[in-house]
Amino acid sequence: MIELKDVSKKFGTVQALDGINLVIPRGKIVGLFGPNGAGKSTSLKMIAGLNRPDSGEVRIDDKLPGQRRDIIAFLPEIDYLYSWWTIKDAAAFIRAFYPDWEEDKYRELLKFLNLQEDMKISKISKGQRAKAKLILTISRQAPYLLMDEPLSGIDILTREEIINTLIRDYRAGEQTIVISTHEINDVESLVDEVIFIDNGQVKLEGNADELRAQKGLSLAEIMKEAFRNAQ
Amino acid sequence: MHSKWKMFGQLYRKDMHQVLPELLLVIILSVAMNLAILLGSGIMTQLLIGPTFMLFGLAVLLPLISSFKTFRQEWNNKTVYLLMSLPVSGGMIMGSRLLALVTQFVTGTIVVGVGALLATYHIIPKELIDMSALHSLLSNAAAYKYLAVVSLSGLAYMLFLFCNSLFSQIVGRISRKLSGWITLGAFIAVIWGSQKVLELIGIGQFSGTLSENNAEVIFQNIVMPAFTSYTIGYLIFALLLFVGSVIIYDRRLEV
Repeated sequence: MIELKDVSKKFGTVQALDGINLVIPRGKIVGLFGPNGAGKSTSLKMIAGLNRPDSGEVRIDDKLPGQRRDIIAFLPEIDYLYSWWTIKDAAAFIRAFYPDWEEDKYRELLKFLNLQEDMKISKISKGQRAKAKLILTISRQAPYLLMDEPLSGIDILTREEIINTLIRDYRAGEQTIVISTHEINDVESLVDEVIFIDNGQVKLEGNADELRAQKGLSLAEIMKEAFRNAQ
Repeated sequence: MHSKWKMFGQLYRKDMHQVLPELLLVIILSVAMNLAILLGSGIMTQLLIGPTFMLFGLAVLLPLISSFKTFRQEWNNKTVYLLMSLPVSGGMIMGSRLLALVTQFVTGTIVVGVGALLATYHIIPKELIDMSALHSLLSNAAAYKYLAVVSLSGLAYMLFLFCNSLFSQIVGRISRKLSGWITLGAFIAVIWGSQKVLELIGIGQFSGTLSENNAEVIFQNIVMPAFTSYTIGYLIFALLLFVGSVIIYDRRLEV
């Protein structure tokens, strides 16, 4: 279970998180939704141990994020791989650090997403880089998978491939996936739980099906309504 | 098997790749100059001996530049996201970087040193070389000891500079503003402070008189103790800076 207890974080004069409280149960796909600058990326980076709270605390299975890096697979929005690497180099690097790496799954995903191991990171398209990052992240059997805007700037066909891959490889009940995005329509069908955040605070949270049934609206419309009410 | 060695090996490979352009520059320049000297003839060839020795400066300076370059690149290219997500401590991340810098420094200076000696031997007229004196120097165990002590002193100081570079950059990265200036300030402050501390405790200073006219006695009684204490002093500073860097990396550093 991932817990953020009263977590605040300020970058200069910008209050990125403002006393946020979150509980993300194990075994669910959770959508972390909100507009740009809402605090989604900061929340994920806190969980991944890349940012530290100014106040409050983050716990993953009752331990600090820095102590749980082995069970977290983090897919940041930015290109974080060395440009001189081939996909094979990147896989060899990651494989050395994580015992939960699944070689068969990696090979199968390469084929499924139509990538070759000898492709150089600096030479492939943005969509191919997104797919390569996805393969390197989900080839691990990590209990927690954090994805920050995995579909941002990706064409519609590649988006579909990514979502289909996630659906195909998700281990229900065992794995927790947190997807942060402001493009809700793309992942609407994927998520079990949703958390809407804005200005570093949780505006609405709950089970996706229940929220949709209660309000008779799509998740994108619910988010718009929640933010209109908040303003 | 997911051993620490395997992890360290991957980090070291990555770090060596980052310092490779500077290392190759030193090797290529040194080899090119030596080939020009060995294959050429005339006064112009002999004049190349000066720049061949000057390459030592490059072999010493470039690893220090690499230490700043590679760290900055990790942040600018966002690869720090990958590094900081890894389930290892800052000790391993920093240790592999330090080893890559030491490899760069040692390889570069050895290549330049061997090349410069060969070039010198080649251009000096053979009739001017006192072969018996050269033979006696080469078979003198004390000469190797002195060379080793002086080389270790140089290596200790470079280790100190590399650790200082890592430390000051990490200190600089704690702040989101004026990071470059804080890095520069910390780097200079550590050099100045360490010098002061060594002066205060009298380490690395020559004590005794030079009235003795036997070079070996001067080396044995005055130069060697000074170099040895100097080496130990800078190794201790390097260790402290390394430990400080690891602590800040593990507890304070953010992307």
